[in-house]
Amino acid sequence: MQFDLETDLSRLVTRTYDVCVVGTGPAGITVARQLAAAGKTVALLEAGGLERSERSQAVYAGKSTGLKTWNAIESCRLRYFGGTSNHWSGQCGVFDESNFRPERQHELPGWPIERQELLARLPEALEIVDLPNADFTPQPVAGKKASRFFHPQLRLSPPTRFGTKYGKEITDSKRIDLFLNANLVDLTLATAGAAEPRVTQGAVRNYARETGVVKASRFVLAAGSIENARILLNSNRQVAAGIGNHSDFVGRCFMEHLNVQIGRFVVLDKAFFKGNGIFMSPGAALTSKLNIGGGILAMAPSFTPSAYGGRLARGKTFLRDQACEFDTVKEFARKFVDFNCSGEGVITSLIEQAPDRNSRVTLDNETDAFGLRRAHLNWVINDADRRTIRTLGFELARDLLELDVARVKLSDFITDTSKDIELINHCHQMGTTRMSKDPKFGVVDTDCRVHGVGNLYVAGSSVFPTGGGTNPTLTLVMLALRLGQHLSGLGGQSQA
Amino acid sequence: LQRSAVAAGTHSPIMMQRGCNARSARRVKARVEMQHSPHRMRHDICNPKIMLVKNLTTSVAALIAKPLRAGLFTRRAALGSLAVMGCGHALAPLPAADPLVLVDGWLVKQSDIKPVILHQAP
Repeated sequence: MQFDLETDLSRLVTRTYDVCVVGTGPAGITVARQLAAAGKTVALLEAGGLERSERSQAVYAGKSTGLKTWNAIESCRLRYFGGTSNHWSGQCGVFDESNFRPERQHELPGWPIERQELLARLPEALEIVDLPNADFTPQPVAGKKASRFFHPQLRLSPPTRFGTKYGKEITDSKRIDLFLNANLVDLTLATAGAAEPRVTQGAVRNYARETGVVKASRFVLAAGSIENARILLNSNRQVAAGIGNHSDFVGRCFMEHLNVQIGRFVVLDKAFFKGNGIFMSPGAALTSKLNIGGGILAMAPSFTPSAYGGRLARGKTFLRDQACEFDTVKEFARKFVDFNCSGEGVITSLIEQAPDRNSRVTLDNETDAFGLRRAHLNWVINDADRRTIRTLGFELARDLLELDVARVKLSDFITDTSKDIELINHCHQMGTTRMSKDPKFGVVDTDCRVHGVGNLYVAGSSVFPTGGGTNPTLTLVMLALRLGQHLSGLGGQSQA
Repeated sequence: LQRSAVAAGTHSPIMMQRGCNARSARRVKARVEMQHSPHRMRHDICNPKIMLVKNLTTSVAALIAKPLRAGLFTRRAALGSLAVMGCGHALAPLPAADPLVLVDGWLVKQSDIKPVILHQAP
């Protein structure tokens, strides 16, 4: 069923649900569907409507400091049904074994669960993102010499728009009640009769600032990395530091995948690049030996096609080829338009960021339309990340040279440590409610339950203790399936 | 062209870091012929200053010869055998132990480098 809180606020209080899921992105919808399939009743809260609106999107506005990049706090996220999947590129990858190596500890502990626990959900996750039977087996790099890199296998989902694909199923479901324009503004904790405090209800507001109450046996926050932290930190009526913030980790260890232009390259062996482009990732032996993070380095060389496109495309290609004949002209033209000459390309990257306490989401003093303090994102990288970026760039250049398939001109900030690394983000927001066995180093336990709170869970990439070296969506869907399975096995107290 | 090349040398951060600047470097005007474009003559300003920079990675000793300009690589060279041109005396001696060198950001083999000097300015 579907309800719009703008017109009917009373519906919320008519029943106590088994689970209240906050957020309708890939994680929230996946958990809700699985719970419904297991016979649980679900209140699914969406803060926006069915379509994008400035009114809802404006709630995301916040302060951004740290790395100078385009506005991650407002532009990366979408606040309506289907969440950020509404502009997802669809790229899917699987975290490799090295992400789960116990010896690969950063300053903070890594994943406390086995990779196999996630991979057990891979077939189901692939069905969800419309990639049935996709194969992610990494391929070795072919060449005259053994390479220390491999070709990661990435697969492109159509991409699945979760709101569009699962909207009808959700609104038709007798077990899921979808509430639109339902903004969670507070959580109430109670300790009576329980070893740990439990969330008894959530306060929900519509855009007229009318407040209703949602009651459930369990609550799942699935609102994204920045918003999950903001909800917990703003729930400070009973706990001054915010719920789950026992060890001051809520909002900390915000991670992104680092998007760095490693350099330019010239092709020596066209066949190696398979005509269009390749991905390369460092092998576990290399990352372990050099103690660096992983990632994906993408190379797509440009070639002059014999007959391609219309008159305009051919004209552009002609102009480019003329400019490429003269280095001075080429360099001058590149000040205005970034282009690759035939046989050249740019190495872009998706590089793992190490968890760092100083990279964090806090609360700003300014408040949103509901009176909640806005998010303040201070995204920073540390020396370990800089070392990973520079080492990966250099090792890739060396590998391509030893294979004799290309030569690389590294960006000046790769070879010169005195220069700031120029990077942007991938809109892969992770961390802020990190998973840890030990409550001292995280917010949620291995079941994604907030440490010290009996019935509050977190879904999505905010629980990632490390970001891994590949796109996060498939992993967060597998984690959501795992959480859904866990919650399905727990008793409920649904009341009609 | 001359001014920009000298400026490039002056502002080379690695050189500055190592205490070198354009004033201390000898300026040699060299005419460099691109081996793969024999019909085209290139003019370049080469700074013969060389230095060995350690610890770019654990095992690679890198030779920096600045400024070897972007003109060292051409599109035509890209798809054929690659050649790096520069001031010949600036490129010797190369470290014998490791065949990889870093020249103006390009990571290349020693065998890629074909030093050619046709003329030297007085």
